Amino acid sequence: MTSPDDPGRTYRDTALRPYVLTKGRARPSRNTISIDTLLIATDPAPSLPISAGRQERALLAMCRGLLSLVEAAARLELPVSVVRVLASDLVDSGHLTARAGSPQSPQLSRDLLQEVLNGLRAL
Amino acid sequence: MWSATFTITALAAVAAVAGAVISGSLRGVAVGVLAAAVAVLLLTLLRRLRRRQRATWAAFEQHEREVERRILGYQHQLAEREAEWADRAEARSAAVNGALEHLLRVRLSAAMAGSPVPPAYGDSELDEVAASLVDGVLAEATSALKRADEREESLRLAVVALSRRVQTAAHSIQEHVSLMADRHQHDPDVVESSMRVDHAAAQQARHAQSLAVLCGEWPGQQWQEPLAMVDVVRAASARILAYQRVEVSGDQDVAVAAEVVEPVIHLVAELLANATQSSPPATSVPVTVRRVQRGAVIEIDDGGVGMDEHRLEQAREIVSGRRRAGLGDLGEIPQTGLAVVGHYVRRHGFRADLSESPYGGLRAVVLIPSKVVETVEPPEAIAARPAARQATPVVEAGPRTSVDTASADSPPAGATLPQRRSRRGQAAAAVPEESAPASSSPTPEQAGSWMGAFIEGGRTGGEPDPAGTS
Repeated sequence: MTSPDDPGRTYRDTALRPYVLTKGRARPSRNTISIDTLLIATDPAPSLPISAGRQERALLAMCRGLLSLVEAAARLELPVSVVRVLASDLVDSGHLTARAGSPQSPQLSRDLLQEVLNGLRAL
Repeated sequence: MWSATFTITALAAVAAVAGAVISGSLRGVAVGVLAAAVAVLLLTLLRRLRRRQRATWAAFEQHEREVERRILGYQHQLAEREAEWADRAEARSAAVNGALEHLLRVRLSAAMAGSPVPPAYGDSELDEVAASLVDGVLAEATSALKRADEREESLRLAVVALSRRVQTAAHSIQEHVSLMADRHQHDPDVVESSMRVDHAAAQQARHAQSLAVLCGEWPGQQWQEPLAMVDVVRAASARILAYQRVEVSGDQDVAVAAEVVEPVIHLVAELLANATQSSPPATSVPVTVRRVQRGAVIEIDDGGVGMDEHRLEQAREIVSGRRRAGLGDLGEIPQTGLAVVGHYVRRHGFRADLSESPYGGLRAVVLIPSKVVETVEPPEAIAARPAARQATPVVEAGPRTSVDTASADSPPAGATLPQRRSRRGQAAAAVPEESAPASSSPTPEQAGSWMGAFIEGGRTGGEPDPAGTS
């Protein structure tokens, strides 16, 4: 369904509500984690508690290689706000290590991205 | 008396003759003879009279005997008739009793059970009036039952319609707060508030759904893809108040088939609601998911005080579906959840039972038969996949009859919608495990849309448009 306030947004119902995944938290336990934070699993990775969810397990597994939070969210098909909380918990429990966003990655401006988008649409 | 008269007459005759003889005169003799003749005549007359009188007497006596005999005959007849009447009355009363008993035990029961009513019992022995009265009772009872059924049906329809509206409204609230959270995803206060509203609406939707299910309706939601059972349990916990107390563990790759995802979520939610309500607030409610030979099992334990034997037995009857409990049979609130479980168990061939838990309270065990149990990728395999659509449920909020969103294999209806992938992610794809994206090279449109999505800051990638949303 399209949001009445914002036609660009769509709603996709899911049985797994975000608050269940984060146990009701919207704030990550640490502020240092943002969408461009790079995550990598601790080596050797301690095993997860048996009650860890599929999402935490998948997140940890995909972070065996360096992965940005936003990419992890895309792969998990979860809102970034949820994955931030999950990743933050895994950093706290020593399963993940967080690194600041890679300085090599070019910080593109919105204008540039819009230009690229326009160019692609024109194809 | 006759002999005395006779004697007097004879004496008079003798005296007359004797008087004549003594007087010695002829005239006197003649008078004497005459007197004697008169006496003899009288005598004869008297004898005749007496004979006649005797005959009359005899006739009278005979008549009297005859009358007595007749009276006896009548009396006998009367007694016979009386006996006959008594027999008949007894037979009639037996027939009436039989017909009434048959009416009560067989015909009325059949009418109440809604099965065909058998014909009257022993109609031949029953006179018309009684037979028509018996049939009248049946007709009256049947029509009363029919009226009650009609009232119940209209009540049921009203409850279903209202609960559907509440359910749809609750889903609509969830949708709006989710969109709000998306728009303000960098504001934790908004996101947290939206979570609380979402949670409250999820509980409201569950209660409404329970009402509909107890009225014999389908759940009103449907999901398009199988869901891992550990996620089913977490999805179920999302619909109860104390969801933070639920701890799920067990096999990560066992899933339930799409068609029973919603029934199992709702069923488990009701069991979790009971488990969390009947155990101390500080305790956790452990749930274990396990694959077994005949399917998969979900075990829910609580650390409460359990139930006494009688109540446990009643509860087992209800959850196992052995006793059908409709809306009208429920008094207490805890029974509602158990009755919902029982309904799903009956409808989908699950098995559910309650027993004492080693944790002190109750243990609920649900067996999902293997025909609706599937295997999904373990979470580690999801990690190895490119950021493509994965098996997650598609919307079907509210009481809709069909879902026409695309299947998992075809491009989702929202193919023009963002497939969220960050530029940074592409850089990260150089890492060995993430080499797969090459297999899903996006078309220019897709590339454009995900870029657009990135700029818009859309929530998740590859969201299909949930068709038929209210």
